[in-house]
Amino acid sequence: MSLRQAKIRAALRTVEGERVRWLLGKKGQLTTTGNVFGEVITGPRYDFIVQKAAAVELERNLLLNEMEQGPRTVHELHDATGIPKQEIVRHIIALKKWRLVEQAGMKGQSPLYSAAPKKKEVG
Amino acid sequence: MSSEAVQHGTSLEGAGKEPDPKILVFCCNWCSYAGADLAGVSRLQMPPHFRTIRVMCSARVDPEFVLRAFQKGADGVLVAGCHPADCHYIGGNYRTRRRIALLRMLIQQFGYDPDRLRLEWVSAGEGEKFQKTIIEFTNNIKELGPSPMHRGD
Repeated sequence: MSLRQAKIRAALRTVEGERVRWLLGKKGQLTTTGNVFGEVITGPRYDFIVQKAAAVELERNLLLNEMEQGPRTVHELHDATGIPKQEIVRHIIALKKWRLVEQAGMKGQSPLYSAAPKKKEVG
Repeated sequence: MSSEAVQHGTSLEGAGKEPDPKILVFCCNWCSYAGADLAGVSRLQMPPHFRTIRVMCSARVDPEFVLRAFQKGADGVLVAGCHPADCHYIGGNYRTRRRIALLRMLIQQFGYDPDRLRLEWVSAGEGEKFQKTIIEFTNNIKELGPSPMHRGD
């Protein structure tokens, strides 16, 4: 699969994702009445937050798609996606926190990461 | 020219030229589709390179539809909805505006020009505006050339 196809797949996953959908649906509330702490943000600030969140989610989904094909090291992920290694490490820390990624062993000195298997929906 | 050649936009005259652009137009049922219909019954001339999909509201256009269209080889996508504050469903077009802004950023990430995606407000009485929008958009897409998916770069 070409990098463009992989990015389109990641973008599809991004727009289906909870984070981006939630942010898109909350503009009115966030820019008028504010969040649960009563903090109101401006329109440009909201736009910046949405764009930033979407960019981060796109990179994370790109990495997740790659790791779903098998365990990968940070170097391999960098070669496949072109994302800087420092960013990949940051994303992996976040993905591990959300239990979307788990360590699957070692390859030489580098840890291998794979996407956590999806839980089956009940009912 | 055979009907198949007409359908695929290929003709003897067009041999050797760049292929005709593939443009997808999403029209909301209440305003833009009626605007497109008006343009049609008024016999306003438009380039034949677009296909219209009628949706009940421009907010029905899921970002996934747009990305799938580009993935399948569309050269441009136009979303036409009611003017702000005229939405039949109160605020659907505001949602669309947010989504399109996000999508324009996303498509840049995989090498598409953001101008390949456009949002336009067309009311039921604006047949001429629909025609102008289609002509302008088709010209823009022709200037941009085939989709990067076709070019294979």
